[in-house]
Amino acid sequence: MMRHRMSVVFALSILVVFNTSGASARRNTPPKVAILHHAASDATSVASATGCKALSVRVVSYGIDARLDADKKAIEATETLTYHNLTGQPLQTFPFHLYLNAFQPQSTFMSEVRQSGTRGTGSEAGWDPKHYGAIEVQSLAADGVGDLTPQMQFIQPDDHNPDDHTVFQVTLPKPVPPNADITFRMTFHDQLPEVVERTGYKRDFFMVAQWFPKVGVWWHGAWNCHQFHATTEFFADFGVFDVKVTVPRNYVLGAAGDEIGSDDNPDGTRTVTYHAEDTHDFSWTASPEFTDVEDSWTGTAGPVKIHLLMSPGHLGLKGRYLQSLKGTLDYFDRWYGAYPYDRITVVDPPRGALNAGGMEYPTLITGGAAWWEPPGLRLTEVVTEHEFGHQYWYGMVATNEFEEAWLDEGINSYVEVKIMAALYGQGRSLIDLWGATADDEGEQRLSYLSTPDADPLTRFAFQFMSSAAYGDTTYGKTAAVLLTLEGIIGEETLRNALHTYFERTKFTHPTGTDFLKAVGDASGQDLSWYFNQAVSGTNVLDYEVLGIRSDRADWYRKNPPPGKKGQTLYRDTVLVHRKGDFLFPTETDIRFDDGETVREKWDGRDRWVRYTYLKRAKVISAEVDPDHKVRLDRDFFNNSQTAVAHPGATRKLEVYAVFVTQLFFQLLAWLV
Amino acid sequence: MLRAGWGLVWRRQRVLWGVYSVSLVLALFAIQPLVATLQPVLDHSLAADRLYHSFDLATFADLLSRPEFARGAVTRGPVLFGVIFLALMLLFTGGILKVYIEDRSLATGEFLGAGGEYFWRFFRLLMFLLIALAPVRLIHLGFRAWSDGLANRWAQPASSVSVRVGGTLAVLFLLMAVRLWFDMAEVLAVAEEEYAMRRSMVGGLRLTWNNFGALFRIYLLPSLLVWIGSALAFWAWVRLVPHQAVAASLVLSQGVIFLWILTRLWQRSSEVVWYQQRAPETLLQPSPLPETPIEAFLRPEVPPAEVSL
Repeated sequence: MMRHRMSVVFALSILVVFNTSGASARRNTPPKVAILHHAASDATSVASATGCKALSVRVVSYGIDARLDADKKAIEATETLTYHNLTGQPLQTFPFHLYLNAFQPQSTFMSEVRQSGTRGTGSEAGWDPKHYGAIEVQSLAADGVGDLTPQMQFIQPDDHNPDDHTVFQVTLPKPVPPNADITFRMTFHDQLPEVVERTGYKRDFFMVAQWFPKVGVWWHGAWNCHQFHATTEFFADFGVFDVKVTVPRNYVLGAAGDEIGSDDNPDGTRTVTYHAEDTHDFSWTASPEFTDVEDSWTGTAGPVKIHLLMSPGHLGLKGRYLQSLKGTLDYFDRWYGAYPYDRITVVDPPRGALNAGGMEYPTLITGGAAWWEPPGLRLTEVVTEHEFGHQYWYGMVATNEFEEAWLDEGINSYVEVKIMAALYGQGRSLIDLWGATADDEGEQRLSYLSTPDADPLTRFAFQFMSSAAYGDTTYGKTAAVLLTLEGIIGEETLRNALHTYFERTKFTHPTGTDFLKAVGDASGQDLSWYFNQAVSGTNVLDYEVLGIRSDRADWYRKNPPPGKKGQTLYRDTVLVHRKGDFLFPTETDIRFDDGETVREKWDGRDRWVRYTYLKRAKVISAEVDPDHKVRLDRDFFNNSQTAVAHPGATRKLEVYAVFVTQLFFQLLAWLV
Repeated sequence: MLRAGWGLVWRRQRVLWGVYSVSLVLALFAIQPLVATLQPVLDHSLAADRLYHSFDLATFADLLSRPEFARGAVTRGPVLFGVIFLALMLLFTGGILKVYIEDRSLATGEFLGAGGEYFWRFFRLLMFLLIALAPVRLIHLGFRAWSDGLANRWAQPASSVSVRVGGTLAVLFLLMAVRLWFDMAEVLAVAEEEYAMRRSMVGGLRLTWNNFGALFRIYLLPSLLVWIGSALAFWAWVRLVPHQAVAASLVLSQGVIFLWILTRLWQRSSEVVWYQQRAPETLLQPSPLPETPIEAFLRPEVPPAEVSL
């Protein structure tokens, strides 16, 4: 997900108490015929429907048949889920996510939004009934077991909020043995919200995401199935998706799978069948107003078909979308590994639906664009780059976004900085407009500076101090941590580390330990001193040049001769101070007026260090981190000091400020 | 009319330089807290180069996010001195109009005396102006709601953007018309030494209503000049002025401010010239103002005592 840089204001908070029974399970559905059977012991050996070898351990297999009611903004669907028990132990209880139930006033999600806001929604925004969403499982049965509807019960593993209905669990009469399969059959009903938090409708545009009951992940010896929180995203097992979507015939569809069939129905609808393998989610979008721009790109794993679903008024931006997407594909292919899927769909949300934008799903991403966007303002590009990046850091390297969001959002933000700079130029990758510039690195850093010391990167996403702290730390601080790491081990080494990490962990659920090990292996260094502070700690890094001074060596003489450059002896001192609690070895460049520059190294363990020289030259400046490698440093302005003032920047800003002030005066004087 | 107005501005250019000087001096005072905050951060820091040799927005935002700037260092001064400038313009406007109406230079004391004479009258007019702007604000909100409604209904932005642009132009037109009306009320107040501002307002409205085309042209053409001039200056600043050319930026930006003041005074002087040349005859056309003798408009050079005879 991309935190929105464009201002999108949604009126949303909790004022109206709604009946949450829409999500409650019905208990009178007759049992279905069911068979419990043993599965192949190794899912990776299961050949895919397309004849290709499976890329992932396919734990789940979903078959969904969904019909969109475009007028009621609702979906009626049936779902068949086959779960392969590869946990090595019998499983009797199964938890399921019901994400759409988050969009109800008493949910945990909405309570958290009320407390500290989330993207596009301030904490003081009122509850808007348009944002009501729900998913109701109408019946649940399991093959070989029968009707399980009465056994369904909502659980709240994170906060025990009884009104939160985003997770339910069901207990089987008898456990599913190891290496066996169980097939669940459900019917469910979705009520979509007006687009909020990545999903919903706007007019006749539908972004249907997190819309079906999804089983939790057996991970580290337990079920991992968190409630839906304001700051969390998703975590699911890899598998196969066979999904039929029925929509009005005039709708253009896009989905996270290969289209393998399309049938027109007599009732004016169309049913499109999709198949996806080695993915862990399935989302789709529909609108009668999409223009499907088709293109392709070829990488080391073969050709990739691009579907760009453009909304009205945005077609002029298609070139910018495609340039960013193809450039990003190129760099990922070159730097980190091959893109193995044969398709990527980019959804351009229409006006008013920006809250559906900036989101990632396997092989389908949503962008974000405005018709007025000038070419030097690269919002479309950065959102496209970021969301595509998630195909790697989330899509294939499927980390737990509830618990270690820095591994997907943070690594992806770092990679975003690198690729945006490679595509659009260092120092101007984000804005290059009317003489003003900004790069993505600077934007990430600003985000980090907003909340530099509240939470470690490793905190569970829903346990951060605030929504802002989550965003600032997970995205901005992680990017700054990795950019600084680049300064320690080298850009190429870190790139190799990411490549290694990707190749080792793709199509699995790695943890932070796996990532740090990959970095350690690639660099051959013990970096625990750094990771303990930067990743697991909340230490703040801030070094400053506290003072520079040149005193004549003969200062004590009553009438010393006038100082002569190159002849008079000076005692030069430079005082460097560690303001923060982050211990970091630093370098300091000290420049003298005879042209010499001395580079000093300091381990930073003490609070300060003083460099003293007896030279026939005066010190003219000192700069900590002269190569600008330590992007975690909280204050760049105090990293250097010059002996003589250089007021150029102050004068420049003064001129601007005078002008703006006089302009303001003129506007006021218009009243007279 | 505009040519005659321009001549008046040129002949009485002390007014122009005076207003510009006050604007510059007050602005310099207004930004002193900002400069005092910037100097210790930037003057001895090599990081300031990213603001001097280029204009890196991230560095600028980094600068503004420092705690020193959180206490209103950037805005407090300009707001305070903006209010002072507004008060001074209230004080000066009477004198400026008197200079233009009489087409002669006034001594400082005379100028300020004239300003003081009209200060509270124009303050009352300012209050009336704010009331008159309220419906314009409502119209603006109406257009915005209309545009938002269209944006909500249609994905295609053309209709809502058209309404938004059309609404902005309409509101701009109304703002200019209202300003023109109150400009004429002020001219009338000074020219006729009117004490009752309601009468000035009514007279100004009548003048503006009956002669809208001619008066609006007087207002619009200098406005167009200032907009085009500002756009050209911005283009030149972006394209031609190097980042570190602070002096060039200063000259260009002050040129723009000077142009704004110049054109505003040009509007004022042209309105005065128009009033002196055309108003008496136009005032004969509608029904006479209830409490103001028409003769006063017809023969302003005649002493009031003779008129009453």
